[in-house]
Amino acid sequence: MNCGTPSPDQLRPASGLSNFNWNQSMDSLSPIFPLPASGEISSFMGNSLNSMHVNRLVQFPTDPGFAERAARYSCFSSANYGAFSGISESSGKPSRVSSSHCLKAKDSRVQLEMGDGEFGSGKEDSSVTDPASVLGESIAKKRKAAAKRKLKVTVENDLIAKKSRSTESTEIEKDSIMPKEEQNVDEKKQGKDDGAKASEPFKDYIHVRARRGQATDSHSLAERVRREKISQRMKLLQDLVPGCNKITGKALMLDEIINYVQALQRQVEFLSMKLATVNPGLDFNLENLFSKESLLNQENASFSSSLYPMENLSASINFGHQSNEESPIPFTLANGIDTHCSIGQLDSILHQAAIMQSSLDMFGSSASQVENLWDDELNTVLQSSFGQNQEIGAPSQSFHGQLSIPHMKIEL
Amino acid sequence: MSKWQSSKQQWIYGRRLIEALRAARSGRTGPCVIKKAADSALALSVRGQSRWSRAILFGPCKPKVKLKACSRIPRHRPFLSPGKLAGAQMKGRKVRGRLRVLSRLVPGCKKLPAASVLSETADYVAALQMRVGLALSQHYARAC
Repeated sequence: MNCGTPSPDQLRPASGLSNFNWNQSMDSLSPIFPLPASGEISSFMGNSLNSMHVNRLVQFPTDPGFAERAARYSCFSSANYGAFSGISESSGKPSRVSSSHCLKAKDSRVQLEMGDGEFGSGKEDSSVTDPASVLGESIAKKRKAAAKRKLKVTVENDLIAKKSRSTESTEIEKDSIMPKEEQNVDEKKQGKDDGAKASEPFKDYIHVRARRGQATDSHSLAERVRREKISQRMKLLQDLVPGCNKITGKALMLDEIINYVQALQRQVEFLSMKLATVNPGLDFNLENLFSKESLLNQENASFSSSLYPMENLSASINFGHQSNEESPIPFTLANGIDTHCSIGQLDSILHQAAIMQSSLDMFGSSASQVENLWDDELNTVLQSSFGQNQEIGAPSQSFHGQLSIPHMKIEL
Repeated sequence: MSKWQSSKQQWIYGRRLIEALRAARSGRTGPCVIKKAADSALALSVRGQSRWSRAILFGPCKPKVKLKACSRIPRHRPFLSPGKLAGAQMKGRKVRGRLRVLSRLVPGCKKLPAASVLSETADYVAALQMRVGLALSQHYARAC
């Protein structure tokens, strides 16, 4: 048993299993290796081989690279695991990483690698057959996974090439959908979805693939398509409406959008009325208009300046309540402009909405006077906004908290 | 949406506004006339490609006229039939209610599905922003 083993002291700490294999391997190795007569080198080789071997055996249940290495080594052996060569490419990289990782712990890399190669060249059925079952399973899994991936790619390519109708395509997709094993389904799905959509601009139906871990029902697929469309459009709107980046959730977002649309509509009407009243001649100078284009672009970017006309007009409406004539309005406008300079910039849309609310309240208080100025359309808008304000619970209350400040400023 | 921010589109809108106002000048001058002129100018600059603009232009007319006008507009894609029960549960009641309010705000979006309402509002918001900016610049041009 102990012939040829240079250091039995170091054998004992190894596990019982490895002892048996070690002894066998050492017996078989000794004729192969041209071991020099000096015991030191042989002991060194034995030590290195021992530590390497022990490490390997300890590692092999969890080391995916071990299967790869064993596969490579077994290529040299009489037992021919032919499929390993095909899989070695796919899992070659992690195996090399892991092998280099365990080799780093050793003292002399070069000799170990030599030892690996020559170890594999020998007939080591005993050491290989023990993990053979584990090996077989892992390799079988890899084979299945690779095959599935290839199948998926071909099926998807066929789908895109065929350009069939939606019912047929959904059936095909259902057949080819392999449940829940793939890692790169999501990437492929997005890629193929884009490709499918781009390649079929004239088709009425959109091809959808079920994602990993989700139902493949036609109903739920269609629903998912709908939901994704809607979420896309919501994102678009989020970009348009200022101050909606922090808000998450459809209901709150829609709240903001509604408020914003109402505010814009009111602004537009105020501005057009004001321009009409200020300028009875209706002589719009086109050059004058577009000489201020830079101003326009700035205002499109940020709506801080848009608050000014709202305050201005609400001030004019205050005066309008007292006297229902048009002549005092130009004076109020001039006063309004002076007061604007004193008011600091209010950047957030909340302030603007608060001003909207305050102007709404003023409308509500003197509806009869207002009706003379505004037409029916505006009234319907106001009524709908009133009804909507009553519906909304929490968000409008947050506006009321800020009403005091703009109120004071308006009354200047 | 980005078309509203281009200066070219603003120029077009300005021109149409001037024409509409000059046409309206001959008639009675009142606040509603001007607003309608501005609205029609805005809608015209879209050249009828969005629902709300068509609704503004052909508001009082019957739906038949609307259908004729929108023949060159791309149809909405027919949706796959969703499970109705599950679909209703997906959108909470609050969201549904707000979508309805929004559809009332934006002209011509009464009986549209949710996705189209949202796209229409996006377009409408962009157009309104441009219009407000232009009117503001006009106002400040006069004030100074």
